[in-house]
Amino acid sequence: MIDDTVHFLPVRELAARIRAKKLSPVEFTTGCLDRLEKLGPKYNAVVTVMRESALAEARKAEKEIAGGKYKGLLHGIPYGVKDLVATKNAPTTWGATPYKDQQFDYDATVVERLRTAGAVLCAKLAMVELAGGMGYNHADASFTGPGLTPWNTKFWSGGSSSGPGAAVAAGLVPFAIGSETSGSILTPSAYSGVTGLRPTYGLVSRHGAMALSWTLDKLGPMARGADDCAIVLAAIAGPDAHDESASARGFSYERRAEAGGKPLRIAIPKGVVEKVQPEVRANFEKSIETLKGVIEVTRDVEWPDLPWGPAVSAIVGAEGASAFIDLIEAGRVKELKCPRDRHGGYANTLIPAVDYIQAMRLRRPMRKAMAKLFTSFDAIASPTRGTVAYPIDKNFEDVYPGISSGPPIIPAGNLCGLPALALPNGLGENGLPTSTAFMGPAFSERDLVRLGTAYQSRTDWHLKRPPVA
Amino acid sequence: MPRSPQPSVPDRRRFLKTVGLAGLSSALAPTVFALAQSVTPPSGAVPTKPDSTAAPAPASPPEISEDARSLAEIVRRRYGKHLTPEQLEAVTRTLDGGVQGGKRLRESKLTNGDEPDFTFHA
Repeated sequence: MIDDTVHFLPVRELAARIRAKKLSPVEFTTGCLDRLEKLGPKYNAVVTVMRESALAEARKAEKEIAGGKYKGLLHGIPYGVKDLVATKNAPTTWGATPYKDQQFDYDATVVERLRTAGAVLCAKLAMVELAGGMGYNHADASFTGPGLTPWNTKFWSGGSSSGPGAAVAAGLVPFAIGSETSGSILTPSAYSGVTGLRPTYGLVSRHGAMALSWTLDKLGPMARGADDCAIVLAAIAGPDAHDESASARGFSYERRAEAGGKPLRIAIPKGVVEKVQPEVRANFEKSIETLKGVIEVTRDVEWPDLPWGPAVSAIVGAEGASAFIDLIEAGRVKELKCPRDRHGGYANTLIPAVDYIQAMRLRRPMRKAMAKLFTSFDAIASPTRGTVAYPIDKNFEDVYPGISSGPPIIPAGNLCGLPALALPNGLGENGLPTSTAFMGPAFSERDLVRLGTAYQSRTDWHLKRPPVA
Repeated sequence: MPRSPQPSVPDRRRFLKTVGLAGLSSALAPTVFALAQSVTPPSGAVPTKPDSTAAPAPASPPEISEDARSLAEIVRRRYGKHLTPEQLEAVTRTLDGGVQGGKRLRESKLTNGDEPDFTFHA
């Protein structure tokens, strides 16, 4: 029987124990499977537990390691994937009733790559139906029920990667793969109190992942810490013949000692803290103070005045309507859980082609504007979200009146394909986590991870445990 | 957090600005609009008790545009059998958000040479 504390250790520490044969991959995997089965339902975090195949992979890893064939830091480490990632050993439901029996006969590229690295796939994790593409406005937007944050189960774990957020936070798996079209890694990372890395568009192949928006979708890691995220990213990044958008650049990672290197120039945009919750603001300011010496801060930086919101709406709306046109036209959206999702797609079928193209044309000047900002700064800092998690019993628009996160950093980052890292930085209202985000230029993941590891070497918010039963 | 006594509905200009600022990331496009429509001013801006000198004029819901009504008629013709009247009204409001968002996109200065940000490969 493995001690509970082991389930909350970072990947690097788990790997050291596994390599030293102080932790058995089979025993640890069994512990994760037990927790997924026992605690997963408490948070509506799990769709399918893959006990049989996971144990087979764990036994293989244990045998290889015993035989001196150690593959690296992920060898024998259990994980879960958001249930929009295709796997041949389990249904891939996309979180939605119309697809709850969907089967694929292949594994997504990320799953293949993690298998090559020796990681052990334990579960398909819950998500907002169709990754939120039909416009949900309530936490209860999945056939598995609302994702619940382990910090306070009256509140949402965030979306659309609800299961990965809750599962990592509750120590059901050490890391998970989430996806983001516009905020779906960062938001559940913030609301669940875990670390999430949204990679640069194209850094990670999306082959085998449900498409919502071909020009915005990204897969990325959610884990205990920034170091863990980088370890996972190094395993999954790189070119893929099955995905034309996949970049040839790849990502290699070795943890660096914090000392040395010039301080990173950080921009805090005007308006990011003025109207957020007081605890969110206070924790953000403490985070910035904590990084003294590692960063040089410029405040009140003007945000480029471009139609970020309308552009992301037109693109996700049009691409999402096309991706699910069969479902919409057949009227099968009425099988979705959230009432808004049952009609949200119909309006999007009428987005004019000119609006979509106009939005796509604007992405070049948008990228230019962001590139200009990044000539003066290495990263942009802001609270990841202006509030703590939403309660599960209200529509989003009915909670937290008067709160504004200021400039649309998440839509802008996604429109420009930029990476971002969300770091837990304290607790706010109702004992719920708050979070700081750093966003950098394309392919600046190394700098972001440097910021994250520097912050997490000086604080322990990423190691705090929610009151898991 | 203090809550405003009643939600206010922003005018179009404020609405469009809010759409840009909402950053409601995870819930995608239509929700961005939906949330933007219901965002209230900062709590300090709305008096908690009547104050005839300071209270802003009561806000009225923005009218749905004729364009949105026309588009809604297309939705009704194509998909009406799948939609209740209440759902069709909600679709109409979403369409109106899209119409306003489209205007904002077309107001942005682009030159003839500004190509869409994707490349076709033969």
